[in-house]
Amino acid sequence: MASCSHPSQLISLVYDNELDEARRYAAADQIADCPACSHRMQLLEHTHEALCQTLDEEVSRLDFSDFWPRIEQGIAAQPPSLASQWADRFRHWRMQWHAPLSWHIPVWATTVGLCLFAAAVSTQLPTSRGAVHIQTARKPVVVALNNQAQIESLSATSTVLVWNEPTSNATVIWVDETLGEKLP
Amino acid sequence: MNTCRLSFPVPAVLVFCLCTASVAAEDMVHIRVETVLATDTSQEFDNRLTGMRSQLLAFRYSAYRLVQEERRQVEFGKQANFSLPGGRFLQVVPKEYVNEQIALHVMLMEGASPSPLMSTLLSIPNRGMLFVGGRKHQGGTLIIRIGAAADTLPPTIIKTEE
Repeated sequence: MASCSHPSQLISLVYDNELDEARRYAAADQIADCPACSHRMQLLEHTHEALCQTLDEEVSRLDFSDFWPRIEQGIAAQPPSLASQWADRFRHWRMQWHAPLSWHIPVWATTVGLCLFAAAVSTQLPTSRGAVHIQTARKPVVVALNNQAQIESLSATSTVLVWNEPTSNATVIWVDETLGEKLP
Repeated sequence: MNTCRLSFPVPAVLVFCLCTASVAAEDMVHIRVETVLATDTSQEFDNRLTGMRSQLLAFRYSAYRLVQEERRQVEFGKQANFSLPGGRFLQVVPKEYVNEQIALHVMLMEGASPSPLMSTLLSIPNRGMLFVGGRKHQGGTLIIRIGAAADTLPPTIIKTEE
């Protein structure tokens, strides 16, 4: 191939259309007049064509039919973290309730007040079956000192002894066929 | 308006739930059943039973070991069932709470017999206790302490759960 004095980058610049109009015309004239440059230009065009054809063939072989479904499956398969779950729930709850809450703050304040009042009243009024006591103050929690039971009925298929344990006066029901010497 | 329909029932429901829950909590009875195996095979005293040492020593055994402790929270009229060692079965039904006394129906069953080995209807003071004992087990004797409280149980007398 005959050599020429034109810079080799000129072919690329013309081919890529990176020159302004005046220079492009001048360069095109130079290439047309120069056999070596014309040959280079042809080679470049053939290479580009071959490359495009190869890429088109490769791409046409690929199956993109389940591309998006696979992406969706992949996203769904990733377990969300606990923090993100709660963040999503909180965001959702805030979006859902922000408007009603902002419009009804007095209603909610009243409700909270009523709840606190109801809780306070209910804790001051312990109910017992058949009787209601009004208690002015909570008694300290102590275990009963006298545990003696009042037995209304007692039946057994074995021998039974009943006595009160001396320390706390707790009632003992002893169910034993053989009354041993272990009993108090 | 949509916001009114949303916001009005919610406070009402909250107040209702709170009141219902507080009333329901007052109608519960805390039942605690501790099963002790008393033997004469050693001098060992289970340190988990320190709180009832003086009561247990009245039984004149030399060794005491806690074999089971269970707690239940049960409504009046509902039964609390406890499985005991040796295939025995204890049923406690709180009947009522009057004058700081809790009425209990206590049944002890053993084996496949449908009739209870022992059945009693009695009242014990609130946060009081009752002993049922005498049944043989593994070379020793079972002593069962049944405690009942119509309010929150005091800090556990013996600090264990088996």
